[in-house]
Amino acid sequence: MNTHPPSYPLNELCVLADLPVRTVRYYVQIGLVDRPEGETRAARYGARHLEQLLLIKKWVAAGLALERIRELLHGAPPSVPLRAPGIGSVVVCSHLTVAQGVEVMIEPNAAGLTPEQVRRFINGVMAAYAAAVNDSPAGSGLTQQHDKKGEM
Amino acid sequence: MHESNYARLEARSGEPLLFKGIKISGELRGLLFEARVEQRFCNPTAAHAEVVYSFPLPWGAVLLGVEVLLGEQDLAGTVIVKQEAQAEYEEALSAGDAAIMLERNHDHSYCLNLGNLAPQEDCVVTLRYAQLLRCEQGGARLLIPTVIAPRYGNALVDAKLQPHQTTTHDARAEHPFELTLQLHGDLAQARVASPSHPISVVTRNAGGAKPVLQVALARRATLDRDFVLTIDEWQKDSTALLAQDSVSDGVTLLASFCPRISTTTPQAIAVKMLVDCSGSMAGASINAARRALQAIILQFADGDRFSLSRFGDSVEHRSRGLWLHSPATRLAAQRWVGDLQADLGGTEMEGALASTFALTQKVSSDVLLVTDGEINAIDATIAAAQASGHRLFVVGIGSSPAEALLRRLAEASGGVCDFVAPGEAVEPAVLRMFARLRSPQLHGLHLLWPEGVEPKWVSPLPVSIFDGDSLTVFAQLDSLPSGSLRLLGSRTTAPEAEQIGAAALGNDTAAEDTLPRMATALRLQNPATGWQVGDDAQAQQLAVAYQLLTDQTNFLLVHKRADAEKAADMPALYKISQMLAAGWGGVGAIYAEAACASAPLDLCRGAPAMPMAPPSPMPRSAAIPAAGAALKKRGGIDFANPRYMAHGTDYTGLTPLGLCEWLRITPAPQWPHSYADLRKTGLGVWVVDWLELASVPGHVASERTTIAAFLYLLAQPEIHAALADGAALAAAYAATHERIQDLCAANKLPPDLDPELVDSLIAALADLAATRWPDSIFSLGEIE
Repeated sequence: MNTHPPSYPLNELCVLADLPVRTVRYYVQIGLVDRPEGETRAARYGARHLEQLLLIKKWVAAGLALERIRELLHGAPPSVPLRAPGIGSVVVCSHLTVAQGVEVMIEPNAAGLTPEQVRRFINGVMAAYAAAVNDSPAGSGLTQQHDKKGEM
Repeated sequence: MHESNYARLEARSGEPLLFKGIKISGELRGLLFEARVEQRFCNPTAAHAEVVYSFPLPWGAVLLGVEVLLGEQDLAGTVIVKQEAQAEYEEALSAGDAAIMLERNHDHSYCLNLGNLAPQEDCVVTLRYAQLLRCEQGGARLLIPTVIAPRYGNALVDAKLQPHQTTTHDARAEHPFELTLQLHGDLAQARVASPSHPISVVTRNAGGAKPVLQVALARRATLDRDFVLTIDEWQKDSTALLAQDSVSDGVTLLASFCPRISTTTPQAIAVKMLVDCSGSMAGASINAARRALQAIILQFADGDRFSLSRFGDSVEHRSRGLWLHSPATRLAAQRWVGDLQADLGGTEMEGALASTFALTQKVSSDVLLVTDGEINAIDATIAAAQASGHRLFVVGIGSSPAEALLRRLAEASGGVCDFVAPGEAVEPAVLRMFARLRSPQLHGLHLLWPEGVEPKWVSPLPVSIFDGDSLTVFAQLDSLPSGSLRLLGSRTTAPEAEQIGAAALGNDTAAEDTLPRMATALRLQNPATGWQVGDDAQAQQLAVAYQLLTDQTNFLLVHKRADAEKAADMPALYKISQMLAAGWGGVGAIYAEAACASAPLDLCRGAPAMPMAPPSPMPRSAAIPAAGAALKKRGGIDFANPRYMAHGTDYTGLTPLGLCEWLRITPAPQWPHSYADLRKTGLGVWVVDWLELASVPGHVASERTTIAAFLYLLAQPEIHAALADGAALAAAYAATHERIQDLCAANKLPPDLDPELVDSLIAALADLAATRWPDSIFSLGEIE
C-alpha cells in the first residue's frame, strides 16, 4: 500500500527510472504517464509515476507501439471494438460507387448507422468528391464547402 | 487547392494548426549549393505551446546557421554540447521562459523543439545550409527532401530515435511549400528540369553582370514530395577552391575531380537484382520499379550474368545462382518483372540482402537494389552490406525515398546511389548505372601534391571511382598553395598508375568560412573508412569550435521572458504531423495530377494503418492456396504435406512427387494443355518457364506436345514409386523408355506424344528427387 505523497521532482524521477528528462516529460505531455502534483519547478512525482515509467520502458523495449502501451496502462478499451468474424459467418455490406476507382463500403450494423444517417453520409461523400475534383470558381465553390463543413 | 483550405485546415480532429509551412531560397555556384530554409510557426491557442517538428535535410548538407524571429525579436543562439543543451532547454521551460533547440537524430533527420511559444505568438526559424553536388555523367541532380515517409519497423528500437523525435503521419495534413533557386556561372546555360514539380525557368541579365537562371515553383505546392532538379549538358572539369580558416589558422582546400577513365572494351558484368515489393511501394513506386527493371534487362549483353530476387517480409529468388544472358533467360526475366506486385508485406531488407549475398556464384558480383528505402533498421543493414564483399548499386524510387539511408548503404559498400522520381524517365538513371557497372575498377587511388605542399589532413578517397562521376577531396593546409593536384590510380590490368584528373590550385578563393566548416563536418562524420578524429571529447571541441550540429552537439537558444509573461505550467505538446508522401503505399495517383489540378485522395484497400504504430503488412497474394482449394474439391492431395508442396526462398509450388501424385489422382482428360493451365495445378513458375523456354534446347516443339510429354513422363507409376521410395530413377526411366518403344512399334502411341521429346526430358531430369527439382531448371539450362 502506497501512503507516501508524491515527493520527488522531475530530475530525480528520471534518475530513478533511468530515462532522459525529455522522454519522461514527453510521456507526461501525451498522457501516458499521469500528471504530477504541482507544476514546472514545483512539480512532484511519486511511486505511481515511477511504476508507470518502468512499465513503459519494458514495453517499448519489447517493441510495442505507444498507442498499445496506452491501452495497457490505462485499461481503456480500444475505441473501435475489434471484430473477429466467426468461421462461416456471412456479412452483408453495401458498396457505394462514388466514382471510377472510389468505393465506399458500409456495414450499417457494425457502424451503428440509421438509414437516414446512411443517406446523409452518402450525400455528403458525393458532394465532397465533386468539390475535390472540380476546379470550382472562387465564390460558389468555397461557399459550398463552408456549408458542408458546417452541416457535418 | 483553394486559399481557404489553408486558413481553415485543422490537424487531427479539431486540433489547432501551428505549422505554416516552409519557404526555401537557394543559390547554386559550381558544385556548391547554399540554401535558406524558413520554417514558420504560430500559436493560435490560449496557452503556451511546445512545438516539435522532425524534418529531413539533404544528404551531405552542413548546417551553417540558425536565425530565429520570435514575435518581433531577432534572436541568436549557439551550438553547444548535447547534454548541456538538453539540460538548459529543460531548465528554461521549467522557469517559464522560451527556448529553441535543434538536434540531429540518429537516422540523420533533424528535430526542432520550440518550447513555450506564447499564445498568439509567431515564430520563424531560418536554417542556412550548404551542400556539395555531385556531377554524374555530364549532369547533376539537386534533391531537396521535404517530408519523411512512414518507415517499416520500430522507430524507437530499430532507428534508435527518442519518443519525441519519431514522426507521425496524417493523411489530411497540408503544409505549404515555396521555393526559388538561382543558378550562377556556366550553370545559367545548362538545361534544367524538374520531374517532381512544375517549375518556371527564367534567365535574368542583371545589368551587365553574368546571366543568372531563376527557377521557381509554377504552382502551389505542399510538403508531400521531395523537390528534384535535374541539370543536364553541364560538364565540369576538375577544379579547386581555397578558403582561409579563421578557427585553426590555415587554409581549407576543396578539390573536385571529374575522372576520365578510358575504356577499350566494355566489360561483362555479374549483377544480383533485388527488388522491394513491400506495401509502401504500391502504386507509382512499383510501376517505376517495373519500368526501371525492364530497361535494365534490355541493357544486358552476351557474357553478362544476372539473378532476380524480390523481397518484403521474406525474400523470393527466381534462380539459385546467376543466369547467363540468353534469349530464354531474358524472356523469363521480362515475365518475372511484369508480374511484380507490391504484395509482400513489410520491408525486411537486412534478411533479404543476406539471402541475396549468399546466392551461389563463381564470379564476384554486384547487387542492384531497387527500393524506396523506407525502413528503420539502418545500422545493421549497412554493416552487413559492408561485410558482404558486394558493391551495392541502389536505385531509389518514390516521391520521398529515404535518401540518407540509401546513400549510406551504397557508399559503405563501394557502390553508388541514383534516384528516379515518379513521372521521371528511368532510362537515363539506368544507363548511368550500367556505365558504372561496366566501368573498369581502379585501385590504389592516391593524390599527388605539388612540390613542397604537405597537407595537415586530407579526407579519405572513396573505395570506388567511376568514369564521369565527380569525386571531392577536402584538405587542410598551412598556407596558400600553388601548382596542380593530381589524382592517380591503377587498373588491375596495368601496374603503373595513370592520371585520372588534375586540379589547378590557387586560382579560386572563397570568402567566409563555409569551406572550413564543411570540411570539419565531413571529418566529424567518422565514415566507415575509419577516419578517426580522436576521442569523443576532441570531436565535441571541434564541433563547438566550428559551430557544427552533430550527434554530440545541439543548437540552443534561450529567451528569457518578463515575469508577467512567463509560462505557469508545462506547455501543451504539438507534434507536427508529416504529410503522406505522394504515391506512398498507393495513396493517390501522381500521374492523375498531370490531367487535373489535384488527385483525389483514395486509400487503396489494404493500405497500412497511418498513426504511430508501424504499418501493418499487406496481405500476401496467394496463388497457390487457390489452386489448392480447387484441388481439395476433387478430394485432391494434401497441400500442407511438405513432400508434395515446397515453400522456400527459391521455389514455391508442387514438388516432383507432388506432381506425380496430382497426375495419379486426376483423370487424364482433366490434365492441362497450356502453360497457364499447368500453372494452375500448383506447379511453380520456375518449372513452367523452364519447360517452355529451356527444357529441350534446339528442339522446336509446340506447347501441347511439350506439356504432353512432360506429364506423360511424370505420370509413370515406376517414376512415382522410385521418387516415393527415394530409389534411383535410372531403372524407372529405362522402363518408361521401353514402354514407349513398344507403344511406338504397336502404333498405339497416345496423341500428341513425341517419343524423342520424352527421351530429351528424361536426360534433362536425370537429377530428379522427390522434393527437389534439378538445378538445371533454375539455371534455365546454363549451369553456373
